[in-house]
Amino acid sequence: MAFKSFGSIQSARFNSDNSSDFLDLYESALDEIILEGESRTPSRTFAPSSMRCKRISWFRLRGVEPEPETIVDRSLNFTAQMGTACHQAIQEILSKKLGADWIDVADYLKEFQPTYEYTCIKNEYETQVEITKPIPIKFAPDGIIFWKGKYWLLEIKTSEYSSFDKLSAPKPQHIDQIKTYATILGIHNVLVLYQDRMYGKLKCYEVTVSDTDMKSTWDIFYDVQRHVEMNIAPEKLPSGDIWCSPSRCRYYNKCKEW
Amino acid sequence: MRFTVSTKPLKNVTDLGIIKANISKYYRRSSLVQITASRDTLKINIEAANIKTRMTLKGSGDEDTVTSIMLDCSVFKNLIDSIDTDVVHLEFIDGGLYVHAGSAKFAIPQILDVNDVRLEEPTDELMPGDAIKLKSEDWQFIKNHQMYAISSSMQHPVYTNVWVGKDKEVIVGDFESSLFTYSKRGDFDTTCLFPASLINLFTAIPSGSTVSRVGRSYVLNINTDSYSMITEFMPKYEDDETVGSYNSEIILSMLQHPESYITVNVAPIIKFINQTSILAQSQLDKIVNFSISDNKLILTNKASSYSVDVNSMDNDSYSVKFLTDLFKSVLSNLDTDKINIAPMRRVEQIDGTTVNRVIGCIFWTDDLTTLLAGQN
Repeated sequence: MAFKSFGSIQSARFNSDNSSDFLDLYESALDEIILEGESRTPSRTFAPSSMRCKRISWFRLRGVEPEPETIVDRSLNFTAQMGTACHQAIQEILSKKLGADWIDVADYLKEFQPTYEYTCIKNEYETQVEITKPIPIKFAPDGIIFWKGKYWLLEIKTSEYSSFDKLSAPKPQHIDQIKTYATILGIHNVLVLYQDRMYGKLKCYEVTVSDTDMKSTWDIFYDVQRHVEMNIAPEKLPSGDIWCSPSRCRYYNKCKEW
Repeated sequence: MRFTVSTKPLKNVTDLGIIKANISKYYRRSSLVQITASRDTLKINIEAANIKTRMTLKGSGDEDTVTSIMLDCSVFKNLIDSIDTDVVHLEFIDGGLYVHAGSAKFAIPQILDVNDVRLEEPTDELMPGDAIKLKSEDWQFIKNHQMYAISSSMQHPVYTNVWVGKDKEVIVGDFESSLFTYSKRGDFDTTCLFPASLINLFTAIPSGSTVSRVGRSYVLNINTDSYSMITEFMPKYEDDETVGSYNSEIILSMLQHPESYITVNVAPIIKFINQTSILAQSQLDKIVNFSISDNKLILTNKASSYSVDVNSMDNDSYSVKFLTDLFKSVLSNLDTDKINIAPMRRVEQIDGTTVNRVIGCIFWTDDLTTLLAGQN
């Protein structure tokens, strides 16, 4: 039996009362910010990132409060911040490189002349588009570019290294979101740029969204809206779907009531 | 009128509202359910003795009219329980209701014409400021650990109810067998009595449900994303004409924890009791003698004995006979493995001499106290 040397305790997070107190000070401030963000009720709109499950859209459109987070997830928050920083870095480089071919979303929509009513709010490299009719939806595409003689929708995704390393095609859980953006903007060609958050490595995959895909996306919008109007819950994800779990869905318990 | 509604919420409300224990041949309206459909709402009314309930679900009707029908509540509940499609279509027709589920169609005949009879509505006079949040887990504790003791004897009908005090006290007991259990898990702000069926309802309510007092009644308010339910219930009161006193003051005074007690592991004792029942042949075997002597707890009956060392605080010595089944029930329904036991004494005059006779025992844990009288 031997004592463990102090130097081998790699995980010591502080070495004095002051350093411990300072860590507490910062982490409590961070937790407040995270909790404030999580306590906001989602807007009564479709969220392209939740298009995999009709019920999430249905709960959102009805203004149902999601279940409160019981644990502050600092790692998830950090991952999101890192993801945002990666997005901005890529968008900055591409916009400079492409110049006028880095398309302003509002200009694109003016030219595209969609049948829906929309407003645009530009925020540096991204533009938030809010559609009110015929379906309520808010989204901010990562970019629209004009390249090789046609418009492309750019979708940036970041990933932790081990998942990135195994990647050989777009992740299935991203496809519904990509199809949603492409459908609303009427762009068939999509470039999905993956970046690993550890070393900054990149992979890029092309996705083509067909007219049939676009029609089925509109069908989903209208189907969910019809269910909202009828006060009937739409079908849930198939039993065993990994996205149907309390850790991945904040409507998990409410969904069980329906 | 054809009304479409999600099946799961409809099942949930009928499960919660239509409680078999509430259906009584002495209260004929308790066998009815009144269903009313409008453009976007399905209203279900039920009624039992001193209970009026309205459940509301969102859905979609195909007309702007309001249509009602009166059905047998058991038939309606059992049919809805059996449906496994996501939605149900309720088609209101002359003389009955068609229930469409997938490709199946069921006809339920109306029992009475709603123009002749209407079920009573619960009051809408709610005072939100006075609402008490009802915790189903507390009532689940009462159901799990105390309800076994409720009396079924109509000789003293007051004991067929749960006594709830205004300071959260809950007593469930049986005067005939002198068995009383006590906890402080009640949520109500007045002293009253509840039948077992209401305890069942309280255990099933979702979190966030509230109760408010309206005169001598209470209104239970349940609001979820998928349905809402209002139940007005009138508890019984000891000053009601046919109820009488629960003698709670006497019972509460007997449930005080004495300063001197023993602490034992309950599992080996239950095991011994189960083993003795294998050998039980006569009425005599249904009695177990519980005694404390020389820092030992000794259990004996005609054919078996068991002893275990205990730390008797004042080297107390006493003996009391219990009905084996009741003794086992008391031990089995306590909520922890380690329990405290102390004698319950009564001062008696025997041949002019004052005797402090042991007449039973008090068993307790941090959350529950049980009193069981011995057999003479």
